Amino acid sequence: MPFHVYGVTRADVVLPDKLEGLYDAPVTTVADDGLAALVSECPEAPTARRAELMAHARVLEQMIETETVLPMQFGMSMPDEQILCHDLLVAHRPRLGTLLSQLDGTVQLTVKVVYREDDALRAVLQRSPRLLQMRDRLASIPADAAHFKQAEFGQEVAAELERMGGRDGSEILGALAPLCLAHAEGRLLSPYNILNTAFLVRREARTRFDEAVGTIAEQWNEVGTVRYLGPQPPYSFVDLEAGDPAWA
Amino acid sequence: MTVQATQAPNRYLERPSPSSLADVIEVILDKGLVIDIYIRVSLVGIELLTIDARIVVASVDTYLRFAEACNRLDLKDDGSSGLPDLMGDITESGAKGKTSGALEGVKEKASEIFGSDDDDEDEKPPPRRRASSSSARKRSSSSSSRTRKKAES
Repeated sequence: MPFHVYGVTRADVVLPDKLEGLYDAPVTTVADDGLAALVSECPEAPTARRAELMAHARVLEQMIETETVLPMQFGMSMPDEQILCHDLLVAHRPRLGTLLSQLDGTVQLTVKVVYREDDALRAVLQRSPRLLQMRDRLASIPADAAHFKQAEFGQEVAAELERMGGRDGSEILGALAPLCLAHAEGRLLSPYNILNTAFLVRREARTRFDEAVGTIAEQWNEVGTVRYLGPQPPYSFVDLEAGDPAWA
Repeated sequence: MTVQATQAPNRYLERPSPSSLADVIEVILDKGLVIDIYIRVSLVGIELLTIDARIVVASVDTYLRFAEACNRLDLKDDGSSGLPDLMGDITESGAKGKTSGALEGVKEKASEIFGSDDDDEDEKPPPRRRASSSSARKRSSSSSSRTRKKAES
């Protein structure tokens, strides 16, 4: 039976009791010379529904509570134990070992900051007398004549929103970056999403980081919402090909 | 926003929380270790979902949505707000409830993506999300084209 692979950790890892993965199958390890793959049995053609995606993430999140683990991207399934040992653990042993020691004692914490539409646009208008004037002038023009002018106005608002988001995003990043080992900026998913960044943080620095995020949530409370996720395994900081990072 | 130079320590302590489905999709399908030849799972539907999540900013419809959202705002500090007149125009031009419907759609979509209060949403499989976000987009473009059509007649 094939195995779904969650991640790679040390062979002497202690698994939590009753750790269940995809299709409620028990999670076990396949170990080879100090390294271990976290796996559970899965069908020949595994599916990627909500339940499977969440199960993969939950197994890794449970592990990272106490252990260092290198997360695999979802969808890695290997036909049997021998191939798994050879093509994952043996073939990539030096790099996996290096990553495990570099990432030892760290977790990933993700911070997403999203403007609330009305509050952010209000801030844009209040800070730009020109845009505010433009809005009020357009309000007195009949709708059929104002269509393109409205689009122009909207375009300028969008540009100003982007500038404001860029400034606020950099400021938040600047406050958090000194408290982490490394950070990786993710894709911004809407015009109102101004920060979506993964931070690699030492376990002993977590409280300080929690405080910093709390302060940011308070400071930006008027225009936006902070979502704070973790602890996660270091999804954004594992790369089989990359060289040693600056913080290592 | 100005950052206050002095903050009492421990005043605001934020605890990180577990990821929602949207957060999970964003990381586990894109980040993490990969050994390419063993990626075997079928990701049909999910790729579409992630593409759909990228809101296209540079379009007239999007700009009109920004304008509409600004026009809705009641700026209390500002005595010369043109809001009531403009709301009249929108209603006359036939958009009626549709305009706010489109804007609600945008909000719905944003909260879906970021999963801020979407515990119920989480119970649905990914394809449902995709359907609802594309219908939000459809709604928004139909409302603005209706506005235009009426204006031309």
